[in-house]
Amino acid sequence: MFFRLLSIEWTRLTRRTVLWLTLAASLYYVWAAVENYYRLTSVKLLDGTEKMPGLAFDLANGLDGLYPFLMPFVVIMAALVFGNDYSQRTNRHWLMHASRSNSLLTKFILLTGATALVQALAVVTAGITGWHYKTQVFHFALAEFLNVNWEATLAAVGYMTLVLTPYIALTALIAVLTRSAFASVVIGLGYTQFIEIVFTSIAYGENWTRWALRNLGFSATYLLNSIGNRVVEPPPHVFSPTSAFVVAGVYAAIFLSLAVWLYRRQDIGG
Amino acid sequence: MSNIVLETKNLTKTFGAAKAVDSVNITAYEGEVFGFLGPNGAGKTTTLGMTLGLVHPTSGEARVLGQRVTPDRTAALKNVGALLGAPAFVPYLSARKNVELVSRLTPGVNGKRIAEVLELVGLGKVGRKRVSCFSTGMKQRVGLAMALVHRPRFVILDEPTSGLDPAGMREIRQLLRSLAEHGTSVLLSSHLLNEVQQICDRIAIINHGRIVAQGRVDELLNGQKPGVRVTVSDVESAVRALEALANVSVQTNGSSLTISGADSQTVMNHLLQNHIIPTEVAVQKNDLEALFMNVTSAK
Repeated sequence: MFFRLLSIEWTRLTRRTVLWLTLAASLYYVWAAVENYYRLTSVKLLDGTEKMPGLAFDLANGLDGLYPFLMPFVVIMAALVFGNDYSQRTNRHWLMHASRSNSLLTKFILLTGATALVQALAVVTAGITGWHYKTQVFHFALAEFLNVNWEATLAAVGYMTLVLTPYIALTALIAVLTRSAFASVVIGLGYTQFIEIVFTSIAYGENWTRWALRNLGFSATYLLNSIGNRVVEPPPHVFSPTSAFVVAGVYAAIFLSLAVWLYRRQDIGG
Repeated sequence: MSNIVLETKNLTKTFGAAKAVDSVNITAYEGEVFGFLGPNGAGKTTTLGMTLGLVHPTSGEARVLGQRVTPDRTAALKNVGALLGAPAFVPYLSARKNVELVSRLTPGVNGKRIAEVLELVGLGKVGRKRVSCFSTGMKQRVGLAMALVHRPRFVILDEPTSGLDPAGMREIRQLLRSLAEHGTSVLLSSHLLNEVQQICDRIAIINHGRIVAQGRVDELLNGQKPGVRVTVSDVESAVRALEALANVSVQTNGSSLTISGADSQTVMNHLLQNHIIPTEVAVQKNDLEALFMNVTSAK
């Protein structure tokens, strides 16, 4: 039943404009970010020769810039996937034949997969854009595939997806609570774009506010920073990279479990 | 007696302090069209929601095709199709795709069956159009197709003819009758009493969350006492006068009285003897509407 539900959700998601809009916007954003970098930056060595960064830089650059851009799209996509089952009343079809937890989990897994796919394609786009500018526009001969740590690149896509999963789970919880796609979009975006930023700002204040550093956004950012080895000096009481990695998973698990718990107890129909 | 397809035992649902459904016991048999009637807010949809595992009962249980809905809803509902309330569909997909999506939940449904069921509900020619472009009646037909695509043994339909034109209603009535003749049991919830009387073998009437009548349609109608409805200006005097008659029961609804247990001539004579002149007199027909009004207006 799990795979049947997955195939149904896949069909529904791929026929939605929001998925293709997210993909198109993400790819355009990555292309523009890499293009912008090469248009504005040139690295000259002391002997006067001009150098260009390698493919690995393009891939990391594209992925790094994508995270804050992609997050609201992921929240909107998740809100529509979870919330429309209420507004279109379609959940009654699935729930006659499948368990409620299965129904919710398939949506979560599908959205996680779609998020990973968008990021993987964005990485490829970043590579192609970098290659295009270096070889076609600036005429640098580059054959540097072997210099890229592909394993680390794939892992980076995985980490990026992982830090977005708590947002998918949180949106699922909001959708189950409010039974509305619109409310999920508004509350989800309100949290990610406003409240989270306020939390993080407060957390740099007095000691008593340090709990706020455990919010989703800070954990995710810290996790990503540590992966990219670009960590600004972190406050000593803040998580280690490993615990930050765990935190993203724990947040996702808590939100998702709560959503499933509520969904299993909810009366549907009428 | 045939096999039981639906049986509820003391099915109860409370929302806070309010009892939406109160100890409902209904039984529907294989191969029959069972009508489930009640005024708005009587608890019909909540009861059907509990039989489909969508609403959690506060107490009691529902058995569908011999299996308890709680705890194993999916096993009990494997051979059940349902259209509960307004049809549920994905608006940006075609009718055919919507039916196909639902069919993926049950094995053994192929493209031929999907085309067949679309033809059956009268959407054969427009199956590839987006459902969002459909009229209310056409959307209702999509809902019916989704309920029937996996050849269920038992179909639960809540207002299936809602939004259809008279010809469409007749078509769906014929379809439901033909389903029952071919062995599919049907539970039909409807406000259209004439429709229910035409196609249902047995009915249950729910009012304020309780079952107030249940049985074969012909038996329930034959068991009705003949009734007379009169409209008077002085309701209290009229009630007092009529209650003096032996074996007569009187129900009031505003200035209108429904009298059971006496014919129209006896009622008229008695009222005139008491100097009460009715402004309107009507002999009630022995039909489902009269039965429905009697059992649902009783306190």
